[in-house]
Amino acid sequence: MKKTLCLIIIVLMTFTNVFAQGGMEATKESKPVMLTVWDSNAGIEGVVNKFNEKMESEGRNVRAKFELIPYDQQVPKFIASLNAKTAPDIYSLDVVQYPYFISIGAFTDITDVYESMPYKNSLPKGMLPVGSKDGRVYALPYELDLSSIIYNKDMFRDAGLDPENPPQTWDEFTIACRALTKDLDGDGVTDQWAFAEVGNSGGGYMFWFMPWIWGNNGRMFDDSGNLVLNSPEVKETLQYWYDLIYKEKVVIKTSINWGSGDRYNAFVARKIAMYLGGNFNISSLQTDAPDMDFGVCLIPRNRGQNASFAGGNMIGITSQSKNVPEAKEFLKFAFSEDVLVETYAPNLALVPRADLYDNKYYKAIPQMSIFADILAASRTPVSLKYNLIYEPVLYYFQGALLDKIPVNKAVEECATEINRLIK
Amino acid sequence: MMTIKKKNITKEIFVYLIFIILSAIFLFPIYWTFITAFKPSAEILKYPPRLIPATCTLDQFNKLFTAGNGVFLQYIKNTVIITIGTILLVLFIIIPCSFSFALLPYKGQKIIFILVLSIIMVPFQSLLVPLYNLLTKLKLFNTKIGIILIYSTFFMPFCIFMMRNAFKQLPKAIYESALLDGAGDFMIMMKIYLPLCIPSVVSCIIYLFINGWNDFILSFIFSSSDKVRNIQVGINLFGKERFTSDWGIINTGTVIAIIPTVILFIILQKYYVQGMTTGAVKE
Amino acid sequence: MKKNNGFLFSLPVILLVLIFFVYPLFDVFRISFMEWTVIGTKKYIGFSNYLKTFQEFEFWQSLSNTLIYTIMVTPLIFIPALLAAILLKSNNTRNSILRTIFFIPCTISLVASSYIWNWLLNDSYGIFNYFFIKMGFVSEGINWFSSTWSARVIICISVAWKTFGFSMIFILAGLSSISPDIYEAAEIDGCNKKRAFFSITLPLVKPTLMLALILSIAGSFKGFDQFLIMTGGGPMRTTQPIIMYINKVAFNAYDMGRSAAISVLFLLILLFVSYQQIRLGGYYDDD
Repeated sequence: MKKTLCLIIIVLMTFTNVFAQGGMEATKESKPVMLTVWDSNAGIEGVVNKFNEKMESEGRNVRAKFELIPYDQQVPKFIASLNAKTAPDIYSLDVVQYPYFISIGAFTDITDVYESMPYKNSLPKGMLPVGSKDGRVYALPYELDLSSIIYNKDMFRDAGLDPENPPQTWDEFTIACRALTKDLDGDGVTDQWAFAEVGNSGGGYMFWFMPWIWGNNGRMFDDSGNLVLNSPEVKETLQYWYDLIYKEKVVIKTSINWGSGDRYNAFVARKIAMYLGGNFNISSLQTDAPDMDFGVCLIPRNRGQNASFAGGNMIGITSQSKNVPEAKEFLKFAFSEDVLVETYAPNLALVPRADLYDNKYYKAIPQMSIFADILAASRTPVSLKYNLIYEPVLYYFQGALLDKIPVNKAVEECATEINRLIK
Repeated sequence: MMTIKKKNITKEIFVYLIFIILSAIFLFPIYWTFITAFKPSAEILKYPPRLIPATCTLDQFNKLFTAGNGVFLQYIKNTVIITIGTILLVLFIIIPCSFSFALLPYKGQKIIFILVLSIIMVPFQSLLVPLYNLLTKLKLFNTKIGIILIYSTFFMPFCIFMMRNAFKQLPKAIYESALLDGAGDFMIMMKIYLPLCIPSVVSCIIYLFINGWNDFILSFIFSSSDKVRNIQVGINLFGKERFTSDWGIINTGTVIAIIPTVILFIILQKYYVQGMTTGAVKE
Repeated sequence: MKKNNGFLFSLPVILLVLIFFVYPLFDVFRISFMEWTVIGTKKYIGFSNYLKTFQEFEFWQSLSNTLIYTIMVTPLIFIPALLAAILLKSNNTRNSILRTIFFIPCTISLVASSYIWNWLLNDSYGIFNYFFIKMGFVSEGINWFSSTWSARVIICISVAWKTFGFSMIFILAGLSSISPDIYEAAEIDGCNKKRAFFSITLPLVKPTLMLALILSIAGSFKGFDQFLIMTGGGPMRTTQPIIMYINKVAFNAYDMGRSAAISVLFLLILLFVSYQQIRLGGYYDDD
């Protein structure tokens, strides 16, 4: 009897010990936290790894896990996950999606994180309103895409133009285009075109054509959110693009049906001298066209100031996150100097803090230097129904450039259609 | 006599030449994919384009297989498991079902028929959000078995109709005489009908393999980690950004898609076209 | 009466259909009557979504684009598939090689195929135009995607190129179950090859052809990737298929309710079309 009792006690003690070990460990540290981080930009994986290293070295049971969401799947997968209540803790997605998702309450208020940032004035001012609502901040600009012109310096030299002084006004641009459009083999057919225009996507017109409108003192929305697209300045801009194709004949007409990839491919194939690209092309160009001397410059202005579209991703904490304090800590970490510079700058991705643009990685690549200026000149329009705007813009502007709708009528009808949709 | 023979030979050679030229034109896009996968990055976008690459490298494959710390091998493994799993599951459940459509009617069968037909009529994008929710609730999200079940649901209609057709084309007398001999439905299906319909089974296998191997959207939406992702998702993750594409990687991925499928097809070809029904109905 | 094995045999399929198809479909059906924001308003609004859809020009435009595409691409897939299946059905080396050649394009995904064709056909840096210029057919590159009809034709050709091989296999499988004894008997009776084709082969292979047709049409209706990649739905929405419209409404306009309604309409239309096909083709006959 006594022996069995002893045996039972020993067995019980062993078992409780085994479980107690786990139990004790669980109460010693905080419960394990796994932050899910979604991003359409693979760069953030470096940040996630550094965060995990830091947590490990501090002995804390907080980790982050990264999942790459391709650009086209950003919205579908997000909506699906919100519906299933399994949204990620942190999501970095296209800036234009935020007004809608903030309005339905998909993101957590992070005003305190923003206010605590000593460098908050170095963040792109144009993008901040897009991530805010009623004075509260819900998302911060994170991975930037700025639209710009990329040009082939070798072709500039061959055309007798100064490669270090690219055109900055419409007049200069027209002159440069004339020199850069050539019939190289004398068969009466243009082989080299100066420029390619946008394109077959609405987002493309917003990203690459709006800066031309802004550079002409035109706007899509005024400060109160009213549509002011139907203006002489906008018509003048569209007319300028139209004339470049049909009057000056310096723009390859088929580019109106191209995608951004086609423009890039044509540039690498040396069929066009200048095209509308951005910072994201720089490292690809180094791989795909290693022997090309290329430069970056601001989109030319006319009546106004040179402008660029500040796009890219903003980052926020979703309202379904169960680990908000840890997520906020991740955010602050993701914006810190070392993390940003060491993760993004080596790949020539743009960091969201203008105060960090003076880093060694950017300095090593001459084409990067201009991006601080481009950032300063950039803007982001704010609208709740961004994606709805793409549609009419694509339809009417592309229609005008394809010579299917007269320019003035296109602008007017586009404005009417947008007004109808955002009602 | 000799001149006729010579004429025939020249005609043969002529016909063969035509075949080769037409085949070359027909397969040109495939050829292009292959050589792009073996070109160094700097050559891919060069213009004028070269038909025969100047340099042949394994650069692109290297890029793909070293990306993400060599996780691509894991993706291949996942795809193999999921594809084979789908093929096995689908064959297992649809062969009896097709048999019943062909020979074993029951009440309400027509409704099931229409439902199965409807599966091919609904685009996946419409069902995306509810399916995501369903898988999450069933705790099958980001699991291989979850994806196998989804694949099976969406790929089985074709197989069901394929096998139903095959079973129905055989004379009903076979079934009736086997019943008279005392055989049960299951035995009849397995031992008599199925062996006579091998070409259709092979079609199903090829269909399932191609769809499982090449799928992107289903695997992407219903996966969230490397333990489940498949080849196409991997290629998309490594090769495509919003504004740029890495053509080397994308074409490499296509090459990886082509080779096993063609091998499978060649192996299975002999099951295709023999007159399998010889002697079946000889009374 | 022997017990009904039919139901038992179909049980696993029925379960799968109910759980992974009918249940989500019912959800879609339910949402189509609502104004549905994923976290936010969810209220029933009756047939509003459907009515609004009927009033949208873009709906009718997308639907007609899809119909035109289907009508154009189906014969382009079918006729080569049928011809190839008939010509290559005997089992010899030459046929094996040709069948393999025709099959290879099926092994790549539609997305990959669309990218490749897009690249090869680009007016500026694509190789096809390079050849045309070099051989003097044209003086400068043609943009195949800039005009509606040439875009439609090119997309149809590229899709037919990629998919006809599989239809060929499908028809081959159907042909293979026709016993050669029948042909022997017909030959003895004095029937020539051509007559044999029309009187014997065609009727026996009809169920296979019907099925292949139904599946091909359903597939064409669901076409999406090829349009997204090659034209983006342009120029000016003239090649936008109905699925692209569904996606736009769901994920650009964030209107899940209306997108569900369009999906339901899509299903009904396709079911109707298939029903007509089955009825006309005499497919589902209870012996």
